[in-house]
Amino acid sequence: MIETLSVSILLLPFSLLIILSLAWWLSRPLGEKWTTRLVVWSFAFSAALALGVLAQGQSFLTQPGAWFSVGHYTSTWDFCVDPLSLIFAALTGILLFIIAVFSRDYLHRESGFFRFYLLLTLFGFGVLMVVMAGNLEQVFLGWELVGLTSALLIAFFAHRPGPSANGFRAFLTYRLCDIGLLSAVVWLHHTTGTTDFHVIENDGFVHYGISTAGSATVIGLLLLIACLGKSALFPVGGWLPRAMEGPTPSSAVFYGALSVHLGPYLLLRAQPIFEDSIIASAALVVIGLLTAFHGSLVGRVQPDIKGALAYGSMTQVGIIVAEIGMGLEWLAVVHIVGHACIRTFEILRAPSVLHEYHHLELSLGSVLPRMGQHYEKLLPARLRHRLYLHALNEGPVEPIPFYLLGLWRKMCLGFDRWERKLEELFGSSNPQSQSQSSLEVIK
Amino acid sequence: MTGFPIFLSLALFVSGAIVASRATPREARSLSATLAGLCTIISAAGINLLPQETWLAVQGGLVCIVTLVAVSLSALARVQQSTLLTVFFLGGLSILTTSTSHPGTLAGLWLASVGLTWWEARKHSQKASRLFAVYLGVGSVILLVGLLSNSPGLLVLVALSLCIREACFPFQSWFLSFVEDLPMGLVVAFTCPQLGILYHFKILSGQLSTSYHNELAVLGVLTALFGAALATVQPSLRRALGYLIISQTGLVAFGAEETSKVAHTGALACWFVVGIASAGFAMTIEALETRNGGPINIEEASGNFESMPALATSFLLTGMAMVGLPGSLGLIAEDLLVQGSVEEFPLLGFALMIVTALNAITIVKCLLKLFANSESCGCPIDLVPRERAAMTVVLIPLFFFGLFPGVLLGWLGGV
Repeated sequence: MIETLSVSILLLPFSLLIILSLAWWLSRPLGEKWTTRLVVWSFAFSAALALGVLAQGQSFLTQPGAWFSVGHYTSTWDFCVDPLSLIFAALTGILLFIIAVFSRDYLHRESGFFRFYLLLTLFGFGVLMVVMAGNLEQVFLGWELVGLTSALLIAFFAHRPGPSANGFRAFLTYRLCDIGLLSAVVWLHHTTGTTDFHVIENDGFVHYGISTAGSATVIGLLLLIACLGKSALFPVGGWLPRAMEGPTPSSAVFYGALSVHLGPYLLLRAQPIFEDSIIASAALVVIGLLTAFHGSLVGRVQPDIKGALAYGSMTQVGIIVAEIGMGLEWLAVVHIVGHACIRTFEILRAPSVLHEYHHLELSLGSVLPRMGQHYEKLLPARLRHRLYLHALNEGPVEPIPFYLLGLWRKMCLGFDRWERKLEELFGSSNPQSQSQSSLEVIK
Repeated sequence: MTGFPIFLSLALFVSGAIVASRATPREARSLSATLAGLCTIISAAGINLLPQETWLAVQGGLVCIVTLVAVSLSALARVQQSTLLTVFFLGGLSILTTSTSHPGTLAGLWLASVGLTWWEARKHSQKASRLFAVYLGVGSVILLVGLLSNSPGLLVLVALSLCIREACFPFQSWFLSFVEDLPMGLVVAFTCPQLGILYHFKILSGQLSTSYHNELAVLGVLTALFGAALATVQPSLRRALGYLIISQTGLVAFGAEETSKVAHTGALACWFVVGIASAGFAMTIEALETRNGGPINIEEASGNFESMPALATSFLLTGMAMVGLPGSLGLIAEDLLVQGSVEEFPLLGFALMIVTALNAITIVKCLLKLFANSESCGCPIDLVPRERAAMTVVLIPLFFFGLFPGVLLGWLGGV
């Protein structure tokens, strides 16, 4: 019974996803009222189920069956039911319930209303798949869905080119870093024959008798690469403030609450691997602290509230990663839950806060005095100035990806030119007239 | 040759002949969609009714779906009755190819499909047909020498000709012009059944020496990397599609060289996915071009999800299914391919992950440029019922077998 209830946490959003997808494909989107009701209740039930199972206080692995099997390779559906996964599942359900309720008014009569809810359901299913997954293959499945929905929601407002470019930047970072996760899956399978978390957790990584420290370090670092993208860690987190161009509710749930915390969740799940590798653990601490320092510094000079909140998220996620690296697992869990709730609230309130701030200033008849800056005043003026410039430029690493992309583009276009020359050599002697004629045929 | 494929190919030949007799292209296209749909239903029935010929029926089903989508989404402005006739005939020839392993017959079918495509290509683009003739002409001669000499030493010539047909690096030049300048229906009918890969399985599997086998695997990955890298920077949508297909075919070619059962099944699954998904993706681009009134430049493209939701969804789902969208068969195919290849070629297996990442980036870049970049778009007409029905037929196997892969992998594992 409890196993069925545990699987239902995931099955409810999945069933809803099928219904909404069919409605979308058949161009019969449901009305605002029904769409909201279905999504709200689906995530509310998921959260209630997660809390109910959590109250039972049991930890077990449920295996509804094999997904597919070829030769010696078998992929099974494994769902991890333990306090860690259930806390995250409940958090996901509750936050998505709140977001779905909030968005009903926020996106009322918006032309993309149904699309938003469809993507939100897909995202919720992806997150629940990651948190309930009993093995890394299933994590990858949910992980990819989260990445895709993130890009599509950043580009939600299609009437401006900005969101589209920012959505692409987020997806580019995600997909390149996901190579780390996929490599970790393959490497782990190759060295241990399984990617099941419970096997690694129960038997320990040492159990497998392979060059333990070396493999644990490689897999740990590959998982860290995967987290760099998803959790906007230093040095690839530049996409995060730009991702705030999506609708406010999706910004709140993606970049304040759930999506950015999937990286730390994965690290918590893979903790036995990090316990066997001091190098990988140290890398977590270093990257985490660098991210926190970078986020804190750059966040202080942001002119817009959503940008400042994005860098605030980045700072907190950096600290959480450092905590995981130091082995403070349950502190990290509490930190994630607290941060997710507060940041969601802050981002949802951001547009109203600006409005209220403006009203307050009008009532007072003067500009409100600037508060804070206590730590800044402790620094020498020269250092403060240098840090200020550093923060304005978003650090020294921000231009590097653009430089590398430029080089990549140049190299590939060079190959393409060579390719076109070959085509000219063997093809037509008059390419211009050819392309002209093909245009005429189309028209 | 066995009964069912011959029956199915005859059905396609007869359909082609009927379509060619129609008075106008519009009439011909409507009838084509109906007849190709009937052939698809027959092939699906074959899978259920003929358990001893399941694999042949699956291949027949793939060819029929490719034919269906190729005729249903063809642009009237570029399609004549003769083009539709060629598409049906290419489908028929592809199905006949699946049912035989006789070298002489295979050579004859190869020549027929190349000749037919070249004849039709001449009517549309001089450059594309000339490049096609140069590359595929040389490839055909090499194939004939390799196949008919009956000498194991000359099998390397067969491998070379298959590389040309599959547009493997460095023999890809003909293919880019082929995709850019010809009606997409013709491109899809010639390319998507991936006959080169089938020839590979039929003639070369286990026959080549280890050194050639390794070199072909490297060539497959090199092709996949080359195509994926160059697709990322293309301003022309059709050229980007050409490189994407080259890249995905490279992946299948690499898998065909694998000896482990896991990777081999992965390669067959990849062949199935790439065949159907690339056909759907290519024809979605044709549908977009029809609405745009000509070729699309990605850098200047504009449009939004709201005006063409089904078209955008088709673009996203077929494109991402090719590169392993979770929930689609593509994910399982690539998982099997990578997991199976790691033991034999660890570095090449890692390269595959880079390839899929680059291809996904290209597809999402095009998607966001085409559907999330402007308030208005040229001609905001979504998929019409005929097109939507064909795309539904494309999406059903991709996602059904993605969620329940056991059935298909059972068939493929038995090959």
